[in-house]
Amino acid sequence: MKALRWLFAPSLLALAWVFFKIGLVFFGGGFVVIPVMHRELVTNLHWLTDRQFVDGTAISQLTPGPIAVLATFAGYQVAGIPGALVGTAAIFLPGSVLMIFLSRSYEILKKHNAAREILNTLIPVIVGLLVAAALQIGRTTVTNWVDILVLVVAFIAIIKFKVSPALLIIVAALLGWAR
Amino acid sequence: MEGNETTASQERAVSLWEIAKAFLTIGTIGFGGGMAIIALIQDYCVVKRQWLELDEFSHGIAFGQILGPFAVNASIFVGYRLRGLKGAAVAAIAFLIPSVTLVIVMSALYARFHRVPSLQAALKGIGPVVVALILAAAYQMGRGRVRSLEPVLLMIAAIGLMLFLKLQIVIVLLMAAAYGFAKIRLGKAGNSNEGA
Repeated sequence: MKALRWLFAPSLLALAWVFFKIGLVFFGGGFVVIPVMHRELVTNLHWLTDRQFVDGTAISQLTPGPIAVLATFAGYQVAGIPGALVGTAAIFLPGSVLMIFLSRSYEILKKHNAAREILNTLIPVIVGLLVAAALQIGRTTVTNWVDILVLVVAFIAIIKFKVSPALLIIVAALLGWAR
Repeated sequence: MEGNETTASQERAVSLWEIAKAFLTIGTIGFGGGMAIIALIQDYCVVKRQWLELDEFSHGIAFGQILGPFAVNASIFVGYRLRGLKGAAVAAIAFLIPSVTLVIVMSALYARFHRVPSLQAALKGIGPVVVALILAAAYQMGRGRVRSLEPVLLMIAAIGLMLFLKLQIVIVLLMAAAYGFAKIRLGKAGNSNEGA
């Protein structure tokens, strides 16, 4: 037991282990990670204060990455840039390994007709999920006529003129910042 | 911007560098959460570069839901499909690099000034574009595939289950998969009866 503790004394190793465990619990993503991380990092380990945790969550949500980049913030607070990198790698490791396994199974699965047929019935559902996500995001972000106009113009630009979404997002961000 | 090397790319293997470039871009602009990133990956890798067929991509998205939300998982799926393990690693890491860099920079600023930078105004501005992007992905995926009554009903059911019952995506997909399974079994039973 003592040897174990000594082994885990170097903070980077401890960091990797803690975030790996969190990664095991939540797999690929989602906001489930917030309460799990809070319990581990704030309540159990006291690596972060409540305030830091809340601010870190806000910072993580400003990025395009999943909320789990909260691990980058927490790792940085504990052990600087090496901590940030180790924490991030560790939290994504379990889910990524599982996803690689799933991708491999899919390559095998898609050769079976029955499996392909079942997956085909899922396509309209995926379309529905996309529409639902658009409605959910739209409910809070598309609130006036200008927003609706931007939405319509952007939709036509993507579908008809194959405009790069990167360009649209940058322009919209600048407009939002200027407004 | 246009990406006209589409037909050639199906004959040669997609290079790791091309995968890295695509996912660095997606990881830089992919604001708006999981579905926005699915939409971006669809636009960059399926529609513009035609690295995968749309059907295969949507299968992968559905199948990958077993593990929950997508951003990194969808990157891994596409990378793995193109170049195996290496491709998966490159796609996932490239996707995360911009976010991780951003968080490190903001963490450093936070450690010094104890304040969260305000980017909310700019992020609010991209809301309508994110919605348009997701709707465009839905349109492109649904065009030609959601035509007859059955898929339209499935689509509407999915929207209803998500918005009103607030079910988890995995649950909705499992229900649909169970439906697809039952349909195939019953279809087979029907056929063998007719045969007899």
